[in-house]
Amino acid sequence: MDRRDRDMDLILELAGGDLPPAEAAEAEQSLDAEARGELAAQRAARDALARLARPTMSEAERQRLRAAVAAELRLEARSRHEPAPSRRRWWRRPGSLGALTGVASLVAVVAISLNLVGNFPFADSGDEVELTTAAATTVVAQAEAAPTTAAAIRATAEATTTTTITAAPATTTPDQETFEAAAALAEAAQAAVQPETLPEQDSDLKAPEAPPAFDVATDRPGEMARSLETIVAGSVDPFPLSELAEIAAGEGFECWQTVVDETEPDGVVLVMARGLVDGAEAEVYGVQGSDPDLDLTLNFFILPECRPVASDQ
Amino acid sequence: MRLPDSETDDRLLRRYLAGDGRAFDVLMERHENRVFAVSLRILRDREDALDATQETFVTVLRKAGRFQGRSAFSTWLYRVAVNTCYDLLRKKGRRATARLSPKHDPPDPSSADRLSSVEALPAIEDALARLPEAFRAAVILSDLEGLPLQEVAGILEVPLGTVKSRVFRGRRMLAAQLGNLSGARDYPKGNEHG
Repeated sequence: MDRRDRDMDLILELAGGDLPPAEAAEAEQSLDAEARGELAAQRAARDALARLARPTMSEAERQRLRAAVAAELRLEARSRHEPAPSRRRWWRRPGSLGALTGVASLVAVVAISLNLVGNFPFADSGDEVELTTAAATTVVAQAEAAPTTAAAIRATAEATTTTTITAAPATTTPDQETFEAAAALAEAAQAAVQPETLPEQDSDLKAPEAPPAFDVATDRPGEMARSLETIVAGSVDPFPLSELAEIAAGEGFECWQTVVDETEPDGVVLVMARGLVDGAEAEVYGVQGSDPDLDLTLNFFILPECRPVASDQ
Repeated sequence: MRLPDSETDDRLLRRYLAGDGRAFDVLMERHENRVFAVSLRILRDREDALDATQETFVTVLRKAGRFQGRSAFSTWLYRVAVNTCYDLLRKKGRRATARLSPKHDPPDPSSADRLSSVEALPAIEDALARLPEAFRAAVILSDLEGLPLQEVAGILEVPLGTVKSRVFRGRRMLAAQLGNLSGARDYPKGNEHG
């Protein structure tokens, strides 16, 4: 631990009032002018934050919240007491591919319907998300309760479809092409029930430019390593590499294509941030491959041409 | 039978898993305000915060059986809350910087201690909202929720040293942004790169 780290620890303790008074007074005396300035800033920030009142829910909001969670509690209790379905590979039994296709069709049809319903204008986006979430829960509940014979599934799909949609019809042909088509349909259905990304905000509501997440120099590896620890420690919630295109493009990142091209497809993205390398604007991506024995790979790209700089592996 | 308020979170969770739904009601009652407060501070939108609060408790409810107790229940709960908020921010493709309250006039420049004036509160909120997400979450949990830094580290799943650095630098950025509201002190202003 170097002197700056020791000072930081001490300043945090002094700002937090964590030391006995006599010890605190002596410690504060030992600080140099810069450290005292830092301590003053820490105390000023804490004092300012202490003035903010904790937000509270209204009684109506609280009741709404509890009702929603109570409903989930009942659903959860019911599912826990129902016998778990057999985990055998039922889709390999003769005739079951048709059932899989039928279930996928049902999910796809209902999900596509919900997606269209979700596009209707609502008073505000909160209602839209609520409807989609509630409807998705209904879809899951219906799917769980859905019968497993193809004919019964077709009957259920016809009964629940609210919009005329051209979807893959249920079929009982147990061949590989049908299986893959059904799996792709189910995957598309799953993607369709995800809440949509909100349209871009008006310019006066846009967030101010964020400070760079990292500012490193390739000729100062020590600083680079410390910055990397901060980046790796908490950049993004993990998501599959297959979603990088959508997420990165949505957030204005530019170099994601190179990562997609050069990384194994079943990787998981753990880091995605903007910063500076040698003073130039850059992006960093961290992707964890499927092999748990391999370390996280960090890839830096300097803009605008997305020139790769270094990777940490 | 009314459950005693003094039961620990872990005991309530075990009761819930044993089939006592009221135990989860008590857990929720105990933590809902804080989860909402943290969510609202991160998301800066009331409806989103309510959604995130609901989603947090639903997630905890569904995964309760897999909670292994390696950390405190509250640590796990707030970790789920923070991750739920980040997930919502990512899905909405935005950073939460909208004001919590209607726009206020600039602070009264004649006030001797501007930071203590009522007009300064929105500025403090704005300054907090402008922090990088990682710093903001650490400052919210540490300074607004009063959690020990060790617990904040557990919630954010980062080393203690990283939390200390985030809190330190987050407060420093706050002080720098608020520095123009107080003529009495000269806050350090410098390179505030994340």
